[in-house]
Amino acid sequence: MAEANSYTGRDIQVLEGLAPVRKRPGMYIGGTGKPGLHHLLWEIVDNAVDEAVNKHATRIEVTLHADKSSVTVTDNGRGIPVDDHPVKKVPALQVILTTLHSGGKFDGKQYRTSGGLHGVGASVVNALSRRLVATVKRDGKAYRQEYARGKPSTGLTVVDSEARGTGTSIYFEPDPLIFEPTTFDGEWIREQLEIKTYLNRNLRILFRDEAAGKRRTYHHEGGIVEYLQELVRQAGASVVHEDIFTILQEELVGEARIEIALQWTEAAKERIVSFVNGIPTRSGGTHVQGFKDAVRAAVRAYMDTHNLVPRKLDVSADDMREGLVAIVNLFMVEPQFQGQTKEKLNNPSARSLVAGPLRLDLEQYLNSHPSASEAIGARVIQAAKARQASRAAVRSVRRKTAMSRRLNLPGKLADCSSDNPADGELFIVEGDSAGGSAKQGRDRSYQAVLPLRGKVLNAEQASLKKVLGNNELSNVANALGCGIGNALDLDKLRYHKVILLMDADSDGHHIATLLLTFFYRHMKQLLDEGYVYIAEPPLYRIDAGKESHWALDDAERDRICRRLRRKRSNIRIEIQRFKGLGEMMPATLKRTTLDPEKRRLLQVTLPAAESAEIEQTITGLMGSNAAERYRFIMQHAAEVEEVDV
Amino acid sequence: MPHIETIPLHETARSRYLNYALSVITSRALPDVRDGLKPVQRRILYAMFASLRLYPDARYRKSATIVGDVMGKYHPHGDTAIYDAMVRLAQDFSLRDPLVEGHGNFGSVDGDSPAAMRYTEARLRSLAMEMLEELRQDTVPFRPNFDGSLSEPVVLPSKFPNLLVNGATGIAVGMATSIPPHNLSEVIGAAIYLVDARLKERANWNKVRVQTLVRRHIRGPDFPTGGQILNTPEELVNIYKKGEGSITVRGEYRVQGARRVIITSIPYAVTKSTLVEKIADHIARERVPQLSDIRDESTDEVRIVLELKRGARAEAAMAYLFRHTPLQTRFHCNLTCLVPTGNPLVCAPDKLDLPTMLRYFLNFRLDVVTRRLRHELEQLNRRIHILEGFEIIFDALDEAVKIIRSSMDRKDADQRLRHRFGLTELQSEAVLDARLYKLAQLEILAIREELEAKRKRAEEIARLLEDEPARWLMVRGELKEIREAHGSSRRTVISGPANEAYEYSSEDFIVDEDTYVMVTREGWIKRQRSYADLESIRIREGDELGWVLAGRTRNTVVLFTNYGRAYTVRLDQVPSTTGYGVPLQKLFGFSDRERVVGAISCDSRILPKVVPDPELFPEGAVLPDYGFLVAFSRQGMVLRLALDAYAEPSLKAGRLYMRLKDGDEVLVVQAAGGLEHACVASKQGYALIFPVQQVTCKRGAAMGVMAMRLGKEDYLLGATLSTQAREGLVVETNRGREDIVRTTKYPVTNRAADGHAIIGQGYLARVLPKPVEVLLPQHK
Repeated sequence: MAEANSYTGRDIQVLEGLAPVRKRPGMYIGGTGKPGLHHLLWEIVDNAVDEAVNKHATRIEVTLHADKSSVTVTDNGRGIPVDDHPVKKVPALQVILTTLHSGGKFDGKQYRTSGGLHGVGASVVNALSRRLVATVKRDGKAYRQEYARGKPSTGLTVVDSEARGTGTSIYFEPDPLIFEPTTFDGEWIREQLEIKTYLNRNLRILFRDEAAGKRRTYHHEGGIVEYLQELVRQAGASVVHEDIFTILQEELVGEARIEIALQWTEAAKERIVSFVNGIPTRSGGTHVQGFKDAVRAAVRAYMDTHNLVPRKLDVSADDMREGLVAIVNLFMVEPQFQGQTKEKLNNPSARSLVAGPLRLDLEQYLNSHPSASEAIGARVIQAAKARQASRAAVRSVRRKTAMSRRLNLPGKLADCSSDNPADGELFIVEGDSAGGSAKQGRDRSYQAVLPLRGKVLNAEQASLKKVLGNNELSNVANALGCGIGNALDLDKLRYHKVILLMDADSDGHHIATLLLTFFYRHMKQLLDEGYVYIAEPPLYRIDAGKESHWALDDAERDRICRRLRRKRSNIRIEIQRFKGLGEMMPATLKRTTLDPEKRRLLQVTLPAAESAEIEQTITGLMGSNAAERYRFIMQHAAEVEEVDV
Repeated sequence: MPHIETIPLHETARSRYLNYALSVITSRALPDVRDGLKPVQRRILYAMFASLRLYPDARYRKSATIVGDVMGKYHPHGDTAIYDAMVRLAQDFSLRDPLVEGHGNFGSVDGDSPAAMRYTEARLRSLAMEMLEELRQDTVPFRPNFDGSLSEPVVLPSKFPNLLVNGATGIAVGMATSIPPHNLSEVIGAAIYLVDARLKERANWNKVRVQTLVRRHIRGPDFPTGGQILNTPEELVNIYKKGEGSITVRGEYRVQGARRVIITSIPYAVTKSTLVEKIADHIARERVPQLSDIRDESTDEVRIVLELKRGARAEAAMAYLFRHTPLQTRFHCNLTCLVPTGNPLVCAPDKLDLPTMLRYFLNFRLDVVTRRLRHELEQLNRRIHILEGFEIIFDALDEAVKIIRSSMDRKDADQRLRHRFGLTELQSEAVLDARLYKLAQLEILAIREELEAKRKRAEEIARLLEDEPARWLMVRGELKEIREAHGSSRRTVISGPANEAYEYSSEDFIVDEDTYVMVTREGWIKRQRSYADLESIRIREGDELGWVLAGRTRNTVVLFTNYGRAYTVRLDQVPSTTGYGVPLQKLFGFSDRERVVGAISCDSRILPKVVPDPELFPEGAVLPDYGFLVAFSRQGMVLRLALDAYAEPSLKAGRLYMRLKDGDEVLVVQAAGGLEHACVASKQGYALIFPVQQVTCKRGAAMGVMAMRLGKEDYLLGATLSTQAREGLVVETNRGREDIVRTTKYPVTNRAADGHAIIGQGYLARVLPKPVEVLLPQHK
């Protein structure tokens, strides 16, 4: 082992003295609570794992002692150097344990990639421990030195001059003056140690939990593939494809080495577990960003090549990762983390280190594994469709924030001054010409008018997205303010009377059915609550001399005529049938149709007993089955009393 | 008092929808079987006739006047809808026989829109008068207009079957209509045939067969834009029987000289400019190698000039255009229209066959003629009545004069005349109104003569009203008159199915050129016309060039995979690009982990020459066109197969070429002529060289035979074919040493023998892939 022997005190560099750690422990370990306490252990374990990753150690033992407040970490690595440091003139072991920023991991010579980069690891642990005992086996001897609160309490002594093998063992008790509590969580330690064995296939960790009286060895031959299977099991969703995609680089490729395993599942969320040099990066960072870039690019390239994306469907990067479970483990030289807790990787280069190879491999995988990629493609499209539908719904609700409420209302809406929905009435009027009359004739305090132009979209045959994209229908939805579909919130409804005011001709009837279909399909609660009405404008104008009368139906027309004739038998009566609302003077419209005292309204109801028939009628009339519609029309043609000419 | 009633959603939706549907069906989108008009068209013609008097000899009036009149009096809808409808009535490329005569820009077959209605002018054409004239004679029912201030005809008393002549299209609710235009002379011929059938024996005209009408009279639609109908007479008969079906129309062309094709007509309802653009696009994309240019030289007649390349066949070019552009289209027929019901004001939709359509029209004609006669008789009787009054007075002229002279005033004279001579009020009024000159002898005579003539005519009409066959003859006669006045010869040729000398073949439209197909180890494929050197060919990072094959675009390449399947694609189907190309998965349905292990270009200039092996091919036997392929599998099998079965393009699923045992896979596939040596090597370091001729040649997919006897746990690592002594299989040992298995080093033995141990210890790490070698076509 020629290489190992060159690791001597000469390799240890001193950057700065150890002192402020006890003063501001949070700067180094993130806090003095439970996570900070465990961080001490991870530092020591990571040092041992570094030895293992760099193939100097094969076994690690972690012992949680019965008091639960002290631990021992032992590895069979090379052992920390004990020869005197060329500058400091004390044993290297002591330098490492008492000097901040000291270590063998700066020049990339001894450790190609490692987690304990800042070099504060062991010294910080030492500084924050009431007692620390380091035992090093090296060159056939066992050395030992004790420390208290970061200062050596004994010199380096040889405890065994015929020790076999090599290795380092660190025992420490966290300082109760600093930590609260000082009790370790055996279960958490177990979990983290297991993850480390997943990440390092050859690593074997023995965990002794003396407090719980348990002892277990962790070793996962399957590595991250096995870990991914575990994560998928935890996600509790079925997999989209059987094959797990992996990149397992054995050797450094240039600056880095990546291990990636991923699989799409039916889960609603993505789960990306990331590591750098075996250290979990809970907040992700540039390597996760690179992972996401690559997934997006590869899936996009695959779907574009095979023309899988339906027209007018936007597939976002989020859609591509929905249900994705992945492990990203990057080994790189000189990782930079945000803070010593190493939650997030900062190196800009990591992005391309991960993205480059992953993109190529994943695209190739997709192209050469049709059984998997077809399922993945379908999964992505399904996610995009779902997202599109819900996005549309969310957007229309979100627009109605309290602040911008008025500002978001459609420009065509002539709103009322009252804000009380219980009083409010919204007249949805056919055409601008009728809208003008209605605006002039209304009571502005509680009656609002929204003119529609032309025929609205048939909501029965259109997707929610198309419905919301339709200008007229989205105006209606916005004016009502209560959102649409599943996102409908009745509390936000701005009017409790939604009144359809249509011309009494066939096109008016058509628009009324189109609007009712829209309400029934996308705002059914309005109908359930009985908020939807149809106004009945008069059908006839009866002119007799200088007088004008309006009749809502044939019976009323006849009654008026009889009355007029009784008054003057030879009176000349002219009857005109109203067609468009625009024919009426605003005052007339007010008197006959808008004024609550005189108007006639039809409240549209959904009798529960007839729900099946309602559904059938709407699908039959408005659905896409033309044959069904033809049958219906021919069957009921006789029911129609009057037809426009 | 607030007045709120409730109504269940489905009830109000149903009644409102039905009202809308029925009104669209009966008074918007569908034409009437009798006059062939939709309400808006009828109202335009009626307004032009009755209120604006825009007769064919009148001065043109602004379209805006007409539209305003129609809108204000009869049609309370949008002005553009009315103007568009009027414009169509004037377009000679929309209507077979236009009814309105437009002045100004009324649009063109190029899809140009007409000028605004404030610019254009219009009046009725004489053919339209044939639909309107008889309105004056109380021939059709009227109904009040939308506000009851005026009345309008329910249907126009058309003298010809306009529905068939000008056709109609419309989309209603739950139903639609699409009736092609026809030739007026032919349609009237058919109508006359039906009248004759009816006159012969009453029941007969219900038995008139569609076949007869189509064979003798209406040979098919006659589009104003001409063209050629490809349906067989049987198909057309079926369409006219069922009232539904599809008609194939294509434009006509003639070849001018060796280098030009002139398109002289285009299918009905195809916009010419769009068609020209589409053809130009096909030419620009080199999809029609026969054509070099297109020019639209049309004036008032269609003339689209296509430039042919030297030696190219015009028929081939046209066959392509017919297939790929709207120069050939389908016109879907749906003979739905409104038919009269018991109530004269109400119609109902129905899909009709041809004779029924004509019978409806003819019954209507009889009705119109009857009503016209009745109307005339009424007028006659009124006149006769007055003339009779004069007759009485003339008999006692002096007394009458005396009475008038002695009367106090007109009223007194009236009463005394009526009392003395028993005249009616009408008669005495007429007498009192008469001028004095009427008392002259000759005038008296004239009145007597008139009375006689009128009586005679009245009798005649009364007789006609009793005599239906006579009235049918009148209908028949009037139809003939119309035919003489307005008939024209057919424009659309009924050619029947294209009996083409040229049979369409997509191969004729491939630009035939030399090209190179590149296939990578990771399974990406592309095509390039040329390349500088192998290194310069772009491939994806980490990928490796596997094969570069030369060939002509009309040839195919066969890709052999490790799963024993062969996929064949014609070179022109491979995307031509200098980029990465496409994954094979896009062209073929590969399975998971299926990869290419061999690729052969079926270009005879490149394939190894087949050695006429007397054993395989005895004297006179036909040699395979494409030679052989030789495949080696991991478990040591070798297969020799004729390439012929794989030379034609395959489906996405490919074809099986080698049957494999479980767990076996193909290692390599190469083309062979027959004289090659097979060099194989195994993992444990054994190698064998044997002549390919020892492998029996199969014609289709097979298992193959053993190449080399393998030890337990051993498997074949690689194989290759060599034609020259120095060529062979390059292997690398686990120590990194290279060796070449070739005939100069190892003896040639029999197939299925034990291999020679080529290394002392260790094993073979891998077989080096054969370097990419491009076989260039040898020009014969």
